[in-house]
Amino acid sequence: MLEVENLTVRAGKRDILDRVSLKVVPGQLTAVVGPNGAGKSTIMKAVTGELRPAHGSIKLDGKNVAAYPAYEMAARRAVLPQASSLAFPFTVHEVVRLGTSGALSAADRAARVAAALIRVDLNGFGGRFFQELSGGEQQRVHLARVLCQVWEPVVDGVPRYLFLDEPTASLDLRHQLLTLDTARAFAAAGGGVVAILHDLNLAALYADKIIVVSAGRIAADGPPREVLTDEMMRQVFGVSVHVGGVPTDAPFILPHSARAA
Amino acid sequence: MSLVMTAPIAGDRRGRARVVIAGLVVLLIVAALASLCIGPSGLSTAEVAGLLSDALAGRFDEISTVNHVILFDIRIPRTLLGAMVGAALALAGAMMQGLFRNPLADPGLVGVSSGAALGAVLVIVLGGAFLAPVMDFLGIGALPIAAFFGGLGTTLLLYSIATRQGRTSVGTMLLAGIALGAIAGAITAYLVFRSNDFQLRELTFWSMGGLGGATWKKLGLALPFIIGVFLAMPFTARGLDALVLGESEARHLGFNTQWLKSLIIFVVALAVGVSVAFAGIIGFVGIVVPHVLRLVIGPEHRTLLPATALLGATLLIVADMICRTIVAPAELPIGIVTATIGAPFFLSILLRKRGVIDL
Repeated sequence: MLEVENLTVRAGKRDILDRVSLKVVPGQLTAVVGPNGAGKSTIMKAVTGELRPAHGSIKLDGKNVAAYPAYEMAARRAVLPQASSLAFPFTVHEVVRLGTSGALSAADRAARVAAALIRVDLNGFGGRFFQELSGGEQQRVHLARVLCQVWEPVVDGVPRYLFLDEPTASLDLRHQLLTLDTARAFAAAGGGVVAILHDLNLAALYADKIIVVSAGRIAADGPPREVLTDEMMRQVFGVSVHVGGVPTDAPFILPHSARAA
Repeated sequence: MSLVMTAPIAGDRRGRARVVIAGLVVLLIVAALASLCIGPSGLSTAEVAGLLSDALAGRFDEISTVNHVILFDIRIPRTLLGAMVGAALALAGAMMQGLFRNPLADPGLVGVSSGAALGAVLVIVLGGAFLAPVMDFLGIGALPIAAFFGGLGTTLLLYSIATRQGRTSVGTMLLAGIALGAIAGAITAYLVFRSNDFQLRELTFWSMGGLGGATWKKLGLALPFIIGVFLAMPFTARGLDALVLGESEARHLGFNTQWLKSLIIFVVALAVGVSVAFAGIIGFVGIVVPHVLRLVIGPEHRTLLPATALLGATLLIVADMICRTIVAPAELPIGIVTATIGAPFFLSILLRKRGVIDL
């Protein structure tokens, strides 16, 4: 379990995060939502050990994250960045292989890479150059790399975690669903998943728990049905919408139908 | 390696890299042997072969002949120094490019070599004055050590100027490199201006660079530096690959990036320091060699670094052969040859990657 208590992060004199407390339970998909600049990515950076908090504690499975050496953290959790460019012409295979453990044999690593590429619907892309792919394809390559890093959601009874920073940002609808299906499957198998999402419909559809961040604080925390309310939408996102209602006569697409089928 | 040949996996270039590395080993041996046979003294290939086989068989009875001296005290040390310096410069280039995540980073271009040169000049000019006790203690070894610290200081400064929160700005790096190089150059010029006749002669001799001054003693001094550089290769290769994704990504993949960056900077300074101390400033080897190899075997450092060392050694040996034959019996400074090959190369990378510079 990931436990964050009274986390405060400062940039200069301003508190970007102000006494944030939250819990991420393995076996669940936790979505973090909120307006731009609310502090979602800062929470992500703090819990993955990239930022040093000014106050508060962040514990992963009972131990302070700062106390884990980098290699041990890497064995317990993988982080999908928002976007990342490459300076040199790596092939897709080579990028994904960076996520596999050096302890595996060369053949096992290659097999793991191939399996991960199939999972992100990039079968046969191994020989392509990463830099020549589209933004959405690049993001899926990184997802495959991250999946390789924590291939088994639970190892020796210890859960592993996936941190996904806007994993669906540049994906088409099919691959948005596919990516979140993969994340759900990881959680269903006992792993923990934290995903920053902008699409509240997708968050409602896939998350077991939604954490709403607003101006550096937690505005709401709970199951989608309790969190996504007209009142919250107005206060946090500043929009007057009716949650759960169908719009007037404009056509709309309901991603929910994909899972209902 | 298994004996069963399996079909290559798409995107996996390690098999090809192994073949290329084997080819580069052969190429280096051929270049080194050619370098032993070529020179203004007219020593024939057959005579060289005879001397070598005698030595290998342990027959050293004709130790005083002129031919023996030419081969064993001039050509062999010179070839070995060329191989060491070439490998070191090429590796320093590859590692710096990985650290800065940019194919244009080269110790010669971004002021690291100038910093190392400043260290060396300091020793030459002030070695007789208030640095005298240090000089007495270190002897000729003071030169590479001072060059190492000069290179280390410049690299550290450059990295701290050009990198903010794990992101290196290419424009800042190149411009800061120019500024640091200019500062080091100005101090060097001032020291030269202040030096006496004897020091001036020594400085002139040193600053011409090249491999002409190779001796067994210098080789012995260079060896620990080079060994340090080579030992670092396996410890940095995987980390350099991860750094290509970005610094935080490398940390997420389990690398201690702080330690990794320090090690890379240290190794670059070692390589540049020893090269500058014993061969002067030789540019472009660090840019051309890794770039060509990335096109052929890909940018994975586990195979790129050894291939870079091999091709760097070969390139410098060949460049040195050109230097001492093209205007024989005089010698061309080796920097002319490497710049003639390297500068157009650098421009061609620049033209194709103009977007990367984003000042």
